[in-house]
Amino acid sequence: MLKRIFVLFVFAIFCLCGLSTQSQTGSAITIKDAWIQQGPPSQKNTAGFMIVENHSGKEIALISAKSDICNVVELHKMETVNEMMRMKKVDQVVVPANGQAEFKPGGYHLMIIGLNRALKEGEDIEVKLQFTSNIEKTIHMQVKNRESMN
Amino acid sequence: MTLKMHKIACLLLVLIAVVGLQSCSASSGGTVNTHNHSGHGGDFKLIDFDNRPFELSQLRGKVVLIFFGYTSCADACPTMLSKLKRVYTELGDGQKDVQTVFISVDPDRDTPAALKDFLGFFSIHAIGLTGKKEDIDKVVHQYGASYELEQSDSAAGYHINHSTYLYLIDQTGALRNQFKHTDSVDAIAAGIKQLLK
Repeated sequence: MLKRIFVLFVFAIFCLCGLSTQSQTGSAITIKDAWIQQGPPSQKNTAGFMIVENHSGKEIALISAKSDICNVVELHKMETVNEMMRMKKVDQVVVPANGQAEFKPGGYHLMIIGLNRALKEGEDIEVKLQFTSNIEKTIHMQVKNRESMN
Repeated sequence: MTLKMHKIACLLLVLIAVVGLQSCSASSGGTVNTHNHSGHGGDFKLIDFDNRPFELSQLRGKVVLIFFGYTSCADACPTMLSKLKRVYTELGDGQKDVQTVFISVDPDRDTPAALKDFLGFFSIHAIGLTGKKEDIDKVVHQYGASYELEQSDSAAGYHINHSTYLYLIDQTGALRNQFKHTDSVDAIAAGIKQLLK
């Protein structure tokens, strides 16, 4: 009997440890300063920016994003090559262990493609972010006029 | 070499160093950028966003800012146009004598109407220009700008990689300067003010 209780106790401890780990992983990522650039009403594409912080001891990557306001959200990177501003689609954006990845003009951005309506300055847009390690995060990105962000 | 000659040589070296430092400090002050633009610039003809023929010579007497871009651009173009709005604010009364000219390097997608809608959003004194690809390419080459169309598997379609210089044209139509997209509002405004004096 005592042996059974001991086995159950050890099993319970393992379960709690598992839950605890999962919970830490879930909160391993925090998003700061998330905003979407307001553009002309007829513009079908725009960009979203944010800071992704990784509070865990292992590397995590953002692999996809989606929102109801558009057809598709892609991960894009801007870089200057041969004096030209070059944009390219990337498969993931790595957030280093205990570090951060910054999505900012001239660097990474969420490319929001095929807007199905005009965005109003000040409104919050729900965006779902999918990370490696099965981490999903739903965030709200505020629509801002680019002029105020320079 | 005598002791006196040594002292004179040292004094001369110090003098050269001071003048050199002052010169560096002046150029990093941001009022004038010195990116090489020799041999570039000049008049050109394209189509404006009202579907009318446009010649740069129409703008004689005004300071002109020329930028090459495209309306689907999600980053560099909105950044520059937003920056220019702040430049205009900084120019105060002088802004009425400053005309921005946005030349599309994406004539297939940028109709005159699309250009007008895009530029109207930024509320600056901007004219949008388009035209035949060969005519646009001629102007791009004339100003030493560059762009290239890059096929992509993005849902946004092809990308256009492009240079992001802002060209400063004086009241006689001569190219006087070119700013980088990273130059500050103050630096661009100061460069324009020099021509408005």
